[in-house]
Amino acid sequence: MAMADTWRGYPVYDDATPGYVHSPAKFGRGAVERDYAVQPAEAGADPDDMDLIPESDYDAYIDMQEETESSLEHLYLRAGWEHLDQGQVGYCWAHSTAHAIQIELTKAGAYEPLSAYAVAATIKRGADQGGWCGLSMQFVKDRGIPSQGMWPQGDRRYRHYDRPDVWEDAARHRVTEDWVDYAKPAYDRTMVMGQHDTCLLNNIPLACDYMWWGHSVCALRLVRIERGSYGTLILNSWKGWGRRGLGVIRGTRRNVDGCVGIRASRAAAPASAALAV
Amino acid sequence: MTYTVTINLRYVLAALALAGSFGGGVVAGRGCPGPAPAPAPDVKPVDPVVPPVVPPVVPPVVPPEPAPPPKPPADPGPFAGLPGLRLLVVYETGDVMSPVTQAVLFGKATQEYLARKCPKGVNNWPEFRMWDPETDVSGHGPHWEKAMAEGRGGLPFYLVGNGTSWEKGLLVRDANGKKAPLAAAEFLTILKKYGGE
Repeated sequence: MAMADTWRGYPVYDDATPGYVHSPAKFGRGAVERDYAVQPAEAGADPDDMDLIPESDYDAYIDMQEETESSLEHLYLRAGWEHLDQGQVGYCWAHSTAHAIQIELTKAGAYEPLSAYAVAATIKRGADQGGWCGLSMQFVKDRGIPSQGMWPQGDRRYRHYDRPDVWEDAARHRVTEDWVDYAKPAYDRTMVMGQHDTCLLNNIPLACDYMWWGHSVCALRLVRIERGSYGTLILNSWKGWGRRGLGVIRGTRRNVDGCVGIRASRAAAPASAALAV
Repeated sequence: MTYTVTINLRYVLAALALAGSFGGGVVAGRGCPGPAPAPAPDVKPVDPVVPPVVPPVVPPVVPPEPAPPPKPPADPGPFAGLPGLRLLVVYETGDVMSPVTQAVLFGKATQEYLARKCPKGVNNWPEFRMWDPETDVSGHGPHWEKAMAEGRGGLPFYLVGNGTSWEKGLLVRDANGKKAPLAAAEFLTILKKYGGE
């Protein structure tokens, strides 16, 4: 079996990586083209007045992140939590969003493991069907996402968990400001990737869909593979893949087809949490 | 011619008795000094040095100063009475942030210090939070709600304390008319004021 190239121990997928390497059958995927009849382009906010970081400044940001170990990669590795596993079910499009929210909670100092299955199984009524990251993000804005304590990962019994206490718990992690759509059809590729890279250099995690891969993952960081060549460090939802779920995609493979982020979310603590201070 | 002198004997006896009551019959200070009387054994002799008489100084009449108003007790801050280091950072999570400020918030030095020094609170989370101003923080404890309600004067903002003292400020400051982000080492120094080494 051919192996992917590696960079710092992370698998690297690029234009030359064959399909049987980047999409092994043992892992589920599930990203499909966004259906604008189901979710119009107006859903999701514009990243208005975002100051794009010019490409000439990328190295300065990356150097500082390296020197001070302040990127989301560093934050995730230090936090030590286990990444989500979608199994063989086509729910990647909810895992990418759940990972982005878990990273935001880690940044805030209040990490909790969340149930991506709750989002996808509720939307798809338990069926193993694909979707896109904007669909799951809209669901999290409307209803939130429950913790794994309320709805375990891997469980698609949506009727069983359709209870007020579950959705009350989910509401603790609702997106409170609108989610941002960085890949609206109105934007050209350069604009989309400029916004994408600016977010990553600012430690804003993104849920990203890649149609070449039929997969959706959480983008964590812009990395410099070599001088003038950048890659996207991603957090995958495949158990045992990469280094703690992290890998790199580069070249034209980096181009996203869907790309969403969070402005602000609720961060309410569990109602059952005892105040230990 | 013959004069007859009659002396009443009663007057003579009365005069003699009066003289005897003065113990010798002579009264001092009447122009003829006599011997000083012996002092009584239980009476100290009077100091003969008499201090000079100083005329009393009359101070100018000054109206009394009004009493200073009672000092209000120092504001104990949102973390009053909660021992241990606590830090709140509020920043626009969707805004572009300088790499220097990112290092302050998410760098190894800050994060490891906070993990080591902050006590555990709700849900066993270490007692530091970095939130968007729009974040709903219910359930984390009233001290976080109080901290979020503090006036900020800009973003990104920090509030740090240890139960007895505290301070707040901005992570980007004006320096000679230019905005200068606080460096990670400077921020760590601030944290150590409240959390120790």
